Amino acid sequence: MTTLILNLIRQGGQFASNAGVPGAIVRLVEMSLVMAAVMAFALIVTIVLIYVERKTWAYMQVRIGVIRVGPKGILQPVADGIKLLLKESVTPSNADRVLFRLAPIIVVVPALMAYIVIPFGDGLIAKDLNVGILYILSVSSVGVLGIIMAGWASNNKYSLLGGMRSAAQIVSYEVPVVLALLAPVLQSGTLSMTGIVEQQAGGFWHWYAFKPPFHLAAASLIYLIGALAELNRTPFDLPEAESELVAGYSTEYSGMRFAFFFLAEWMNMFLLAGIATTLFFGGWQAPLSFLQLPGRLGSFVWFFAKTWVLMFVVIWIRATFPRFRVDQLMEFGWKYLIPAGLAIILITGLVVLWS
Amino acid sequence: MGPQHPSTHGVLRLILRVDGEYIVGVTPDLGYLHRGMEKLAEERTFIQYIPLTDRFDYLGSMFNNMVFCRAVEMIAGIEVPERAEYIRVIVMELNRIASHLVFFGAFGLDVGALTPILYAFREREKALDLLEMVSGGRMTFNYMRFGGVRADLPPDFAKHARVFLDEIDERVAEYHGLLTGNEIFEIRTKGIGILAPERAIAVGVTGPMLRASGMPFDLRRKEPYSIYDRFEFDIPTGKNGDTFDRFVMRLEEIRQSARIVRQALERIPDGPIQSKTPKNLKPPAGDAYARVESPRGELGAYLVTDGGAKPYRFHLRPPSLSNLQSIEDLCVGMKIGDLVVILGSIDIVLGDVDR
Amino acid sequence: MSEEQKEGAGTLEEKAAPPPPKNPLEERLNASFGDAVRTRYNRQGDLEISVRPEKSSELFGLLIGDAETPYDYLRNLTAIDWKDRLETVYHLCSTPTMTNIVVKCELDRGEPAVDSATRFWPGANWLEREVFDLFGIKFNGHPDLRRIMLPEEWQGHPLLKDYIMPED
Repeated sequence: MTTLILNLIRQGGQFASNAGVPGAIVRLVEMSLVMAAVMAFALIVTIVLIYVERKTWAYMQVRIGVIRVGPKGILQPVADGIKLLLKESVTPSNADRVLFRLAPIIVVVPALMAYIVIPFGDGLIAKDLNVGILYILSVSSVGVLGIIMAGWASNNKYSLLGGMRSAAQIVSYEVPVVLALLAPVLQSGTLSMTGIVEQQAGGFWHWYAFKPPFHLAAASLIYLIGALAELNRTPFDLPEAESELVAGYSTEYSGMRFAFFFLAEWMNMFLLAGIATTLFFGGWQAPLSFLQLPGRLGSFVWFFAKTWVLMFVVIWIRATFPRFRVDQLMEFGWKYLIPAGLAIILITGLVVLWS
Repeated sequence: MGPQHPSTHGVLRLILRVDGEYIVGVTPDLGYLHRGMEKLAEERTFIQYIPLTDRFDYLGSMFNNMVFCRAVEMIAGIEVPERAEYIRVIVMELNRIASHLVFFGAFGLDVGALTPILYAFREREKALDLLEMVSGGRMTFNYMRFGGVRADLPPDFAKHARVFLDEIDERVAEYHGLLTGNEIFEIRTKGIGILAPERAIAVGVTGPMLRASGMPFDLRRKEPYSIYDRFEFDIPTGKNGDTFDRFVMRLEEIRQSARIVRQALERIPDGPIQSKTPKNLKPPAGDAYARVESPRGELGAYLVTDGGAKPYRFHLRPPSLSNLQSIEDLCVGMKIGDLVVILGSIDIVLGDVDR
Repeated sequence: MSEEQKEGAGTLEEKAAPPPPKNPLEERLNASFGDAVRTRYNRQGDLEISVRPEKSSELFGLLIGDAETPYDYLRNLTAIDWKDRLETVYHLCSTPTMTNIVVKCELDRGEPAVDSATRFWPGANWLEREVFDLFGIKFNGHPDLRRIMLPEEWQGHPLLKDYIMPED
């Protein structure tokens, strides 16, 4: 779907510039259309993800889950979305209006921006920056600002507390995530996302996660754990734990703004799973070379499948584990993950030097 | 933490004094569920009051019934036939299993594990089905009468009960696998909320909390009532008195209760299920303090009669009230995140605390 | 309780009750307290001590400090309104031997007050607050004597026999 649209856009662009439309406008329109396509993709994935998560959870919890809206409940997320859109967006009277309205946007936009450099398939990347990973890391860090703004602007002590906690958690776990992502960069020698995927061609034993001496497997673990913390998901979901803080930084939000926070979480989930797939699990490469399906759609299928496996693991973890207490969470990140990350970079460096 | 809160197990209000993350003082504010049950007792005849007793500790209604009936039987000198005693033991232990399952599920929620409660409630449904077979009710049974029970066990009860009992043993092993061995769970519960045994007795704490602190004090052993001295069962005792011990012990108690029910089903004799008692019972003047080991601790009934058809004074000795009194001891010096876990491990029922 | 003592009450069968085992404390109590204390055995065979309010603390101290049977466990603390007087009732247990004792204390209805038991059994704290809340009995020396079940502003003590329900 995306491939088709991207192709159409590119061909349309060429057609237009051949017809004499000034290059700048062509590029502008092209870029906007690409952005729209990426956004649409992100939204669709989110919708599907919501449904899959609820059903998976349900079955793990010995229940059936959503069954009423649409055949087997498929339209449930659509119903949720419509509900949120139609709800009144209440702004608390003492809230800081500007920040309150800005916060959800600042949380969602970086997630969307990062989608641009994910290689969904062979050649299916909105823009292949040669500093792809750097771009992703910098852009996703901006999301934290939105959370702090939300907590502060709500003028509610629970929100503030939740916002601070979330922010502290995310910022603390940025470090191990960055360290973990540096390992494949060192290994492959390039910051470009497609570059890294190409280095993993040939079969699943070339994938970084399965490459002996498995230093990168450790890096992938650290990355996944850090990603869970970034997403504020169990076992790191204390900021959302209603046992103390009602709904944390998003307590005062309703309607569309609340929907934005929600969307941001799911989009980030797909994003982080996608990054893990790209850097550690071979991106759009098939596990065995002859299984590689033809064309762009084929590579997209592999990428998609792997990302969904990772997301399933994330959902699985949420259904199973209890949650950490705040100080334990911080301790774990700073005292264990960061030294581990540093050690892995050291080892990776040695391995690269060796070979 | 106000009366409406997802984690206070009922309408309990806790006033916390905190210093940063650390708890300096806890003052519970009770009475939100105070219904004047003791005053009501003075306005109802004895038999009219039995359904009201169900509502004290509503997760262990059989025990409330039992303790009230025993108090009346002690004063009036009513003997209970053998078969009725066996039936009483069976339903009480099934009720204990159901109550501990609720504890298990709710405690999982408090710690952040979202799945155990569904497993627990699946089992509880089966236990409640058994109790419904016998008494017609699922939570408030109104089943015991002075001198026996209201109705006999249905003919296929033993068969269904045995199926359930076999299953519950496997399930408890499953629950251990799900939560007890989980590192995050252990970090959240070990060493938290420690209660020393001498302090426990001085404060009046009884039941699983006391046993978790190391004192094997179970009324079924120490002061056997009904026919408990005929059954073989162990008294699980903890070592450290922390929340982890309390959790593990209650799961063990489920197993032991299942053991008792199995033995009772094997040995139950035929016979009448209620001794002949006048419908309008007028016990002689006097007083008695009857007590049973309920899932929360020592449940006592102090009954004063004046020869009339209504109690002169009825006081229920609430296990949850005394257990809750220890909360300040348990929480001082702990962090806010631990409060919910500790409160969950005390396992209170507000109907008991407030009456 | 594994046995119940039955007393013929006119409604049900009479059985000859075996004499209750004596509690060794009884003689010592009668000796040290004399008139301030009356002892009897209740239907369940437990020693029941009626003590005058002024002497209650002394009695508690003796009970909790007893060498052979320290009464370390306060099982129950409540009160009864006998219309012409109030009475506080304490059920105590010595956990090493599982001997039970009942202490009763008759109080004047006009200004009911008795010493608090919290210094002997910290668990008495909330139990006494409840009695204060519902009966109006004051416990001298209680660290925090205020209502527990009813709101602070409530007037009256509901469990008294002459309590009148407010209109709303």
